[in-house]
Amino acid sequence: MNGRTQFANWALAALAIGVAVHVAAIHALPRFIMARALARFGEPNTVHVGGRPTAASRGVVRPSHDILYGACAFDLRSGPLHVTAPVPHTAYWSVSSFDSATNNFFVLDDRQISGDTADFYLVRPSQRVPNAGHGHLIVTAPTRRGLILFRAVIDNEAHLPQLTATLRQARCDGQ
Amino acid sequence: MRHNIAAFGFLRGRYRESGHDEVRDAHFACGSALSDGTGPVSHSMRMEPSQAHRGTIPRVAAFALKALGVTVVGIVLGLLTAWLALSSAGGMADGPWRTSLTAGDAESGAYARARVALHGLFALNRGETLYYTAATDSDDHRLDGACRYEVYGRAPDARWWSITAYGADDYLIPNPANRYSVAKTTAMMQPDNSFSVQVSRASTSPQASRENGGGNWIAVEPGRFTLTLRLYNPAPDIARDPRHAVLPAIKLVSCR
Repeated sequence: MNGRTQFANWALAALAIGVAVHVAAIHALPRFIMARALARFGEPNTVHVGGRPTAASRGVVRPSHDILYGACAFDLRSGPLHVTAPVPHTAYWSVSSFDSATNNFFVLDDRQISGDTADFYLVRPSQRVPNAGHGHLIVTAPTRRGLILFRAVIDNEAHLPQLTATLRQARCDGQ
Repeated sequence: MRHNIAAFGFLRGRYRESGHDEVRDAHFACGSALSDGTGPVSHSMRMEPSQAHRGTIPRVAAFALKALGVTVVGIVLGLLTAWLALSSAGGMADGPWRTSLTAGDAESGAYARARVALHGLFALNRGETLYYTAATDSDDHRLDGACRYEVYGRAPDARWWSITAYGADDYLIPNPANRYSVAKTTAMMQPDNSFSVQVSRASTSPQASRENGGGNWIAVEPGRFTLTLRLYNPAPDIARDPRHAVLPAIKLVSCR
């Protein structure tokens, strides 16, 4: 084998490794970022409500200063999750769910809720909800772990304490 | 060992040669006990075992070094191209604004998903919210916090909207006035439903604040920054085709 052929073979090997690393990095990055974010939200299946985002908020990129966030890192290993939250109906409010690859697989906003409370169960495809009443909303999560995010638009600075108190009443309880 | 190495395909030729040499070395060392039948062996070329090992070990070491080098080059190449791919804007453009049609969507491609994870984690799908980001003004010049800009136009057709400035690190920009954004609920609108927002350096002076547009002012600091326009519950026609949204223009006013 001459030197030129050897060089071509080594270059091909580097290219093959490069392609594999490129694909793996693009595929793994969202999962890695999500795993880090979930770890940052602390104890799973508990709603954490932060303050109004400012320049000091470094948990999640590109937060909105005009939105109050509550987050529940969920883990369905032990069973379904029962999510309940009072809905302010004063400005935009939503609850959304993200799988471990950052995909937004569910969202429900205040316009879609006629009552004062959002109420649903989050389950894995193999799980059943033992105590769910007839007509309860059951959402299937594509992955065991992920995040439930509550958003409430701060329409008025004066409403902030009340909005914070309302968001703190949100629950995500294991069944 | 020869078969194991040959499994690497392109190395086969090289290692046949190498194996050939090994066998010959062994033959020289052990007399006529081994032969690969590749040619006559001269007893005058007989070598000592230590000499044979001295010939093989550098070859193996050289191969290992090359393999390590190629692996490192491959990894660097893979990471670099991934970084370059994710650094590109992606999505579709509407004036200086860009948006991803598949943000937050499980059907989005791997690159779009990775970009959103990096620069817009927990983005909602476009039926619920549209996120437009501008890194340049309307004349395609990169936004710089050392300059002053005017963002103006008609209010976007959505239930709620906001315009927020972010630093190059994708976080809110620290500023003494704590002015990070202007939203539908905080912007001062004109009777014809239009607005004008100043984007400029922060100042604690009330006079400067008035000059900066009073309430319609977003503070930035020198350096690269981006603006994100959020449309919550966008009008159905915009959600269907975000390219047709009438979005604010970004005009460079002055630079220091």
